[in-house]
Amino acid sequence: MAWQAGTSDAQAAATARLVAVSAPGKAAVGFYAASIVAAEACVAFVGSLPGIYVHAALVFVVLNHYLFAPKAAPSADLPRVLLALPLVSLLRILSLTMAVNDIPEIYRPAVAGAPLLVAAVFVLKLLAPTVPVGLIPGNRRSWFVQALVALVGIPIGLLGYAIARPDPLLDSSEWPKLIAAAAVLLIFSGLTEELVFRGLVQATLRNALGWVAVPLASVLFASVYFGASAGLIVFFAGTGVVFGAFYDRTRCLLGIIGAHALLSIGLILIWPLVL
Amino acid sequence: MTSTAGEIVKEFLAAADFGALSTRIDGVAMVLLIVLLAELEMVRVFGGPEARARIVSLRVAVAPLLLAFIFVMVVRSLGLK
Repeated sequence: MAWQAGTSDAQAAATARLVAVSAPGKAAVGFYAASIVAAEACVAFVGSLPGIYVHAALVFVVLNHYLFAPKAAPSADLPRVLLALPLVSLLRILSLTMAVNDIPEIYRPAVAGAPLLVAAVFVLKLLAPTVPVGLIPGNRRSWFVQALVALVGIPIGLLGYAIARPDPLLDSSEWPKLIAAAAVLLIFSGLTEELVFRGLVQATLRNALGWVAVPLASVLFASVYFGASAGLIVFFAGTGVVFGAFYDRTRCLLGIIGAHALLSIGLILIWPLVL
Repeated sequence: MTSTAGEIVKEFLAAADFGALSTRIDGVAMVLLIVLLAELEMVRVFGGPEARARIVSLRVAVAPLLLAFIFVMVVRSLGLK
C-alpha cells in the first residue's frame, strides 16, 4: 500500500538519523519535556502564577537553545524539537492571559486558540522542508483510511462523556450557536491541538528520540488537561497514544484532526444534549 | 474541555482573586514579550549572517504574544472581565 510504503521509508530514514542526536541533546529534550509537564502540574495543583513563571522561562530558554544550537546536518533533528516544544508552554500562557469571563464558554477555545494556531503555522513553515507534517493524504485509498480514522472520534467522544458527564453548554433549539461552536471546536480543538501535539511536537520528537515520541507527546498532551478528574487525564493520555499511533503509522494528520474534532463536538456539545 | 479552555482556565476564571491574578499573569506574559522583542532587536543588530533566520524563529513566540497583548488591551479598554 502506497501510504504504508511511504511511511516505512520515512520511519527508516528517521531511525537512521537517531544516532546523529547526541546523548546530551536527548537529555536536554527530555529535561525540557519534563519541565513543561512540571509547569502544567504547578499551574493545576500549586497556583497559576508560579506555573506561568516556569512556562515563560521555558519559552525563553528553549527558544534560545534553538537559536544557538548547530543546525547543520547530521545534528539538525535536535533543534527542530526545540522549536516545537515551546508551543505547549505558549498554549498555557495564552489560555490564561486571554481568559475572559464575559466571553461565552463555547467560544473560549477560539480566543487563545487563534494566536496558538498562528504560532503553530510559523513553526510549520520553518520546519516544512525537513519535517513533512502530512496534512493531505496522498491517494484515494489514503483518503478512505483517513475517513475511517476520523470516525474513531465518535466512540472515543462517547467514552469521554461517560467519564466526564459534562453539563450541556447550549439548548438543543440553539442550532446556529451549535453550528458555530462545532466550527470553533473543529478549528481550535481538532486542527490546532493535533497540529501542535502530533504534527509538530510528536513528529520532531520522532526524528530526535525514536519510538519514545508517541508516549512522550501523549504525556505532554495529557498534562494540559491537569486539573480535570484523574479518569479524564488518563482518558486524554490514552487518546493521545491512539492518535499518536495513527499518526506515526500513516504520517497524515487529516484523520486524527477529524477524530479529535468529532471527539470534542460529541463530548462537549452533542452527548450532553442527547444522553 | 479543550486544552485552551479546560479545567485550569475554568478554575482560574472562578478564582476569588481573579482580577489581581489576571493582572499579574498578563504582566508575566508582557515581560516575556518585551524580553523577546529586545532580543529580536539585538539579533537584528548584532546577529551577523544568521540574523534573518534567528529573527524568523523568534517570531514563533513574539507573534502570538503580540496578539495576546492587543487582545488584553482591547478587553481592558472595553471593561470586560
